[in-house]
Amino acid sequence: MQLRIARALLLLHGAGLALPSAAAWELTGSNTLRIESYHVDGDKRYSPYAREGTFVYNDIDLSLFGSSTPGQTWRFDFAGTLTDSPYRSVHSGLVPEVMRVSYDNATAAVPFRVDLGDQNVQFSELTLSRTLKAARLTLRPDSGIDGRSYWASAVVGSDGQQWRDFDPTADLYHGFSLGLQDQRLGSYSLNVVHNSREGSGSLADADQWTASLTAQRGFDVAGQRLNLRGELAYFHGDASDGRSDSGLGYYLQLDGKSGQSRPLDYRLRYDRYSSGFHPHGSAAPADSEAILAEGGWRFRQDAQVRGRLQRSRTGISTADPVVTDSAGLSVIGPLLPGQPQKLVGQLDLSLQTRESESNHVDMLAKSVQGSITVNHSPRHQSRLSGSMATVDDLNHPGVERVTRQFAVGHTAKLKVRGLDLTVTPGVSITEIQTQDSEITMGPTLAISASNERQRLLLEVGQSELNATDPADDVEQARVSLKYEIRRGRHSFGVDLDRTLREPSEGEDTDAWRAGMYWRYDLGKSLGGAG
Amino acid sequence: MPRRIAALAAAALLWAGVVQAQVPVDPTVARQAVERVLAAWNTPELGHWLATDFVGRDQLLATLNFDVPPSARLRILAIGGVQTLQQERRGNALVSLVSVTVRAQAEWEQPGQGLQRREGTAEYILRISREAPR
Repeated sequence: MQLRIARALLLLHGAGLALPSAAAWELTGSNTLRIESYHVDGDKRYSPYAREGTFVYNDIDLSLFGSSTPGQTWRFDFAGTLTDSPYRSVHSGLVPEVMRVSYDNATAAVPFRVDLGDQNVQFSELTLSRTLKAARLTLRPDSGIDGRSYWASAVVGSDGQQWRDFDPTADLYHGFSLGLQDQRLGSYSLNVVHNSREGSGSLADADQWTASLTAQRGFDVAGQRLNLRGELAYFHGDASDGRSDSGLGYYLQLDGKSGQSRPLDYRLRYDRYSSGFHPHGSAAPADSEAILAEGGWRFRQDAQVRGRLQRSRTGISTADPVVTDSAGLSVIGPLLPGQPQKLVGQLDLSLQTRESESNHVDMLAKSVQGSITVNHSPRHQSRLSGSMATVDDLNHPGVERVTRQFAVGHTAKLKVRGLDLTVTPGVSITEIQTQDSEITMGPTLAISASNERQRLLLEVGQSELNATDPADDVEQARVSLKYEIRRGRHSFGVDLDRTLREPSEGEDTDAWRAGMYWRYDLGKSLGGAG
Repeated sequence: MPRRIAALAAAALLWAGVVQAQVPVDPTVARQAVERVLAAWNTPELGHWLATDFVGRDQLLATLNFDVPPSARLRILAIGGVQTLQQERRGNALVSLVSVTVRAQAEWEQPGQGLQRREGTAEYILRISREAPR
């Protein structure tokens, strides 16, 4: 294992050394070697850890950015692990996780950019918005008009894949996007995306096309800075179940800010997607519509109020659509006008209902959450928080679920022999009341100590679950400790985590995780000015 | 350099002002950020971390309300690759979209059945703002 890690590091350093000598390059990243051991005593069925043993992995994270000549930039990214730990990866051995090369040329006759490897491709919300392993070419021809730019981008890439066992055809996208951005006229784009997906499990093979037009324009009206944008998309092809279908989807959104100092912001949005609209590259749900209104007002002295209303309907083409209504209000601000930092309060209210036309589904959820933070001094702070949430299935009276939570804690920041010490003791109580009732309560303690070189974090928690049937009572204790010391670019650390579960009957479960690591941070300039 | 984790972000059109990520976000910062967000999973505080432009925001909160056991919490098993996807300068802030891959398991105590756990791997997109001089 150690030999393989060393070889991988040498190869990666070698890539950096082969650069043109006249270049200005910045290398950043780190290498972390970690050893972890998992051990469980007692009833292993109820351990949080599925596997016991000692595992080693080495994480490598490298990023190289630079310019070979003025106007031409390169970027190389690599992140991966060399592992035998089932907790780190489902694979063992060398597991590349992020590999990317980007080249941008702003001085060519037609400025362009090439991206190869892992990248976030965001053509539009309704056609393609995915992190793909892909090749992409983007051209930015000179418009010859001040404040206007054009782009054309073509991509081919695969979704949901890992570099190990990479199957580019399993979920393959081809896409093309063409657009313009103008300071006065706004931004407009045309997007065309093809996706082919191999079936697996209950999913059939699918082959589909999606095309869309997007438009966005900002304007000022009566002191309001507004931004209007929308998209209209057409889908044709196979849905995930293999059925051939076609349909339209669109959304329209208006957001704005008001006033000289812009204390008010707001957003209105409407979405509608037909039953035949199934693009894999989008998160838009078929056969649905939604309307949203939200806004916020920022007062002086850091006070803020925000509200949000949403109605969404799913299954709108069916005889029994389901309507979900959401309303939320959030207020945060100082409670003592003369001393805005002394006492800060927060209140969140939310209401959600889910109801079908036939009343087959009829659910109601309400929640209220509040907190008060008392800043006694720069070194002492107390916080009280509480919440109550009710979830009720209105078709089944008597199955209402009420969750009440209360927590209180105090944070003291001390300076002890050059160490910044933070101690946070507290107590939390959670009651979940259904037909039965269970209460989980116990103390918590967090201690952190740090200076320029070292950092220690200790967290202790204990809780007791009192179920309706005393045979189901469980006591739990959890301790976690993290310590790290830095010397130059080197960091050494230790993690310990213990979870103890003690049911009133049967065997206890005592689960341990102990880990230690060494990290080497890179940060290096590799050449002179280009 | 002060940093702020704005929210869990969704896909957005970011052609204007988007540049190649020249200053990748420190992976340690991204890991600490995702730890804070996932600590709030299935609690009333999660809503504060979700971006208002996250497409599945209300869907996710409704699922947690109606379908997930209220005592369920996430335990992070391992944090994998961290990738700075895009960077955009907004005034004095450098706003980065960062992808973090996390292996985590949901755990909850089911009376009569003991500790339950469900494991999964997911990619989280974080929007991290850093104050940056002009």
